[in-house]
Amino acid sequence: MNKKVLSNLITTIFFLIFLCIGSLIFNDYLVTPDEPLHRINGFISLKYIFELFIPDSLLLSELGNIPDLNNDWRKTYGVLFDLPLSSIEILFNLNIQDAFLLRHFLTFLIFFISTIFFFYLLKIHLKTNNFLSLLGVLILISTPRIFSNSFYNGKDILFLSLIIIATFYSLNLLKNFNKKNLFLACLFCAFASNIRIMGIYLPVLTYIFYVFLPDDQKFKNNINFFLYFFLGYFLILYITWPFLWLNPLENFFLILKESASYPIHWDFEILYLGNYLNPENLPWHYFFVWFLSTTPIIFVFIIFFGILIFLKKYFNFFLKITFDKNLKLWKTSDQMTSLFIFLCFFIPIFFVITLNSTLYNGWRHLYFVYPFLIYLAIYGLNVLSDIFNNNFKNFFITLVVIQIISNIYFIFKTHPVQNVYFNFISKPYIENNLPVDYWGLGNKKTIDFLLSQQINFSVANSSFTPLNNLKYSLKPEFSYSKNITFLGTQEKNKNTSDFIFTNYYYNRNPKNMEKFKIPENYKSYYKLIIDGIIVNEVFAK
Amino acid sequence: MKSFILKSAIIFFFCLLLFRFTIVSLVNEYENKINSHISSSHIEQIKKEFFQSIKENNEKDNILDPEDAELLSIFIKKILNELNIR
Repeated sequence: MNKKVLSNLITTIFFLIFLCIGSLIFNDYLVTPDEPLHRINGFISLKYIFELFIPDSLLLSELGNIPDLNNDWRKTYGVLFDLPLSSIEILFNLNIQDAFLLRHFLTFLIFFISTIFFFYLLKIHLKTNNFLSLLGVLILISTPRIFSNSFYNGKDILFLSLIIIATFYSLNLLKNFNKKNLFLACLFCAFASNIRIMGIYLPVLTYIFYVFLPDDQKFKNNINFFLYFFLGYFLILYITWPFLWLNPLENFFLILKESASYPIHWDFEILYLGNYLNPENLPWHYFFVWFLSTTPIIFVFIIFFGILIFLKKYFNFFLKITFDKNLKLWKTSDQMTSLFIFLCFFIPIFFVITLNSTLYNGWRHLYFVYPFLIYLAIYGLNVLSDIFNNNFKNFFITLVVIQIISNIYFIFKTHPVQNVYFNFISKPYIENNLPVDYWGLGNKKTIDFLLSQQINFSVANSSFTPLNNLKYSLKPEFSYSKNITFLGTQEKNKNTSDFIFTNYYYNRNPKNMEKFKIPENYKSYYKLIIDGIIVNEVFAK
Repeated sequence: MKSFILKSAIIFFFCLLLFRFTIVSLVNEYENKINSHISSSHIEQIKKEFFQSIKENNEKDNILDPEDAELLSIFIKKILNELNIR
């Protein structure tokens, strides 16, 4: 067997193993607080479509309790994922548990497909070998928070996945203009923008790069390219987004406006470095603190190294640019690719910081820049042997492999609560500085423990986490309301409950909030500690 | 055209940075201060302190100084008289 065939075989086996693992464990994850909201979002658009096209359908009576699209706070949410899922739920008459399981499986499946694209992004556009491309994919999927989110985060991970695919085709389009690449670039840019409108920066960046392409590499003039590309992009966006159908321009600008701000009715504060802040007024370092705290330290190191190498190389070229008619922003096609990828992560972070965009629950809204950072890390590793010698490159790769193994061990050990990962430098400072389990994934583990001790009990809640989401994930032998009674956060229920639960995640400073207080006659009964961090705790009389 | 786009982008980049680290930072700081004063958690604290203070005063024999008591008594009587309420 020659080397190339063996290498391709290893790659195929790797992806098959990843698919098998994901397919086996996707049902271990709890239904997170956002998922029921997105499920309803799908139904809202489905109801809207039926009202528009089949107003006398029987289905409309079934959807009677669903809010109207134009009156709902979710009207500007994309429906690319939610609408097909709600249609499947209706079509196949799925029960609610199966609907959420399907949502988890499809979220993982799309992420899995995007990792294949990421592999080819590295292999084709960065021109690395299979080993370095696989290393890039491994960095992505072994990052504990990304791995965990890939099963239930139908917004940020989906956006990350579609941005990877859209970037792949946008680069293809810049290097080889043909109808297929044009269509696929438009399609995936529109799909990504449907999930998060922020995705619009990708077609804009692609167009700017096209303008700067040398004339001999252009197949269309700038105006024609603009018309073809943006017509295709907006047409697909329009078709896939029912909210745009009746009033495209006004609603598109409403989507843009609402995407940068924070829904006024949410009215909560987030814990950041010991203080409870309004998510609209975050300090500039919010993203950096979260990113540096929750990304494995070797990955952070090689990412910075890759960015430094790129900047050094590029600025050497940039400083010699002459601002005349023949202005060139890059020397070679490879340099163009690296610059494109650099800007793909730099532009969103730059605008999020300068425009003071709303962020909360860590850096999940910016997960989509992570593949670009990994790309630059692999770029750094790839050119290391040019700058130093091969031993230096091998040393770095060994460090990365050790970090990947350590991550896989963490993922295995903490399953399915990998979302509480903090690297070893930040871990000692997390308590009372950053929220830990904002998705509430550890809730299930703790309630399962209580069920193993007692068959029937009531549990009150002293934190901002919806315990009743557990009803979608209880084992068949237990039932919500028969075995467990969730009493919520009301103070009057505290003294009558068997247990009081808290995962230390609050929407207000808990210091003065009675609803978050644990009565003095309740003592600690069980603590879920993961990797030295208290994730949640149960108190009993 | 290319030169214009690039120069505009560079100027725009620095203007936004300047705006973020001067005006926006200042506005954020003051908004956070205001928010922390009007937040429900802070109001809860004020309410708690207020009732605690009433509780402590209820336990005392005299709540007011004799001078303050006289002053308030005259004031309340005058107000009641003017409002013609028995």
